[in-house]
Amino acid sequence: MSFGFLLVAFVAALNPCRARLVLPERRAAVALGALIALGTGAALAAVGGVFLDWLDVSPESFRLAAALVLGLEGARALLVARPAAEPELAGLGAALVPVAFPLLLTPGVVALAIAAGGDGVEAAAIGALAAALLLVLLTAALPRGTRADALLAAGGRLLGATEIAAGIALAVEALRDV
Amino acid sequence: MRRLLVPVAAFVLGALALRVAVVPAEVCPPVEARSVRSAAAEAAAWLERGARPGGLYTYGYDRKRDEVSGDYSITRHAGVMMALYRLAAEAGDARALASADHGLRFVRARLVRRDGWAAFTEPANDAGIGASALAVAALVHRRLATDDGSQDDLIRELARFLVAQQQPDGSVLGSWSPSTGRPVPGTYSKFGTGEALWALALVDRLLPGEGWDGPAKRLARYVATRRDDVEGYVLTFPDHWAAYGLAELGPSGLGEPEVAYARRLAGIFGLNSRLEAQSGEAGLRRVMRGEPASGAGLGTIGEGLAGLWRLSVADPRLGDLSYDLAERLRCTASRTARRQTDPGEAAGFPRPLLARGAWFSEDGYTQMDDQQHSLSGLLATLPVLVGGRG
Repeated sequence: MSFGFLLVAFVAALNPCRARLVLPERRAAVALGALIALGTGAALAAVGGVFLDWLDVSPESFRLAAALVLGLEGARALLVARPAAEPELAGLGAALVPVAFPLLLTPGVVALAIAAGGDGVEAAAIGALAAALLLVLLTAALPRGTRADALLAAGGRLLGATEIAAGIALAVEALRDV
Repeated sequence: MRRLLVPVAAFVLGALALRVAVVPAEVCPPVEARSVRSAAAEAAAWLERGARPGGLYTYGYDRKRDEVSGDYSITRHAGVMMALYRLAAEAGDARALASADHGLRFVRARLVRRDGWAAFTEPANDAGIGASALAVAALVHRRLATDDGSQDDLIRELARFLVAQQQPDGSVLGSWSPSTGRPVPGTYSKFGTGEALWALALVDRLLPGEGWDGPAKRLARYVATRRDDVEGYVLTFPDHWAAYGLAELGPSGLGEPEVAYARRLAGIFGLNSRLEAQSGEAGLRRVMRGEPASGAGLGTIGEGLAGLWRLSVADPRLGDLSYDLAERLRCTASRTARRQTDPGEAAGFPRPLLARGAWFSEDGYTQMDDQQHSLSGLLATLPVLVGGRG
């Protein structure tokens, strides 16, 4: 898994356009939530190899599982462009719920981080996740409105399709690897 | 916060579903060279005990019905000989050599000769290339085991049959018709193509300078670049014989297309090995992965991985695959050895000597190729277990 692939896959799995439609307007909570997501993603990538060993799963096989998760998640984003609003904790608690979970630590992000850890590309994964989260923060600063929301929904669908493509690419790689 | 339960539950249930359906544990018990040698010896003993009059071997046995099969296949006969000669060549096993020589009598009685070539076939039938190709492989291993050149002319005759079946694009037609006296157009043999590749590469190694390398390399190029399309395989066909053939041709005999094909082949065998390691005889593993691979299935995975491992050690262009191939090979060998019927288990069946050393399917049947492929796969794993790189 190259840095480029991980960047595209993390951006698609985080889907900043779709997330923007339901992220709280409290900037501090969003920024803190992104930090929590980065820390959790980094931890998952760091222990990914050990975790897969513990499960007796080869990295190549897990890549296939991650591909399936990306594909399903991408299909959901493609079909349901506007996600339902999530419950929020009060104050900075919103950084934890809903920002970090379930909006940023999506199944796709978790699976990708573990898969990257299993492949021994933890540093690239953490870098790509950080860049993708930065994009989420930038998108979160965009003003909302009818027109903007329509564009965000369209962008969410496009990123959903990208996530499916990333899943397919990952599956092909998993099938080719020994 | 009750609404949060929904994504949490979806996360947990999704993870559980993935674990059960997509990534169950790959069970690879530890394996030692000693246990692999012992399993190979037991498999060879099953084949040796099956020697029957006329140079035949026991074809199959149903332990539930206590029935010995009346079927026979000359291609599998040649495969059994090959595995036994190989054991003789690699381990100096005199009983295996004698048992394979027993089968050679059957081969010599079923040769059809035309235009300077010979085919191993049932006289009234079309001559398939697989039986002759495996007879070549058997005889080459006999030569390696004994240094006796008395069968060299037969090796050449059989190899000339394979060359006579070769088309201008490098492919080999699967059979020859005695009624028309010509190769049957448009017919390809699923395994015969790879078997012919291996046979021609082996003959070139045994008899260098006689021009066998040309047909072997043309066939390798066809297999690497066109076979899947021409013969109708959507994905790369997991051909363990082709893996043997590529390993035999070695780095100097392979161009970039063949190296790329070897890489694809390694991926398919790696996937098959991983999926096999996820299977089990009971519980959710049985439900999700179906019946575990037969002895022949396990053996061919091992053979394919071993051929490609050998090539990856010799060819720097594939060196990055050595470690993973060795790991999959160890896993497949350990599972192969564990699935074999041991003497204690065999004692519980009506004819213990037809059960001991065999690999049975769930319905209680075993066939000569279960033992043949497992024996070959286990033998091919030994270099990895006794200190091979990777």
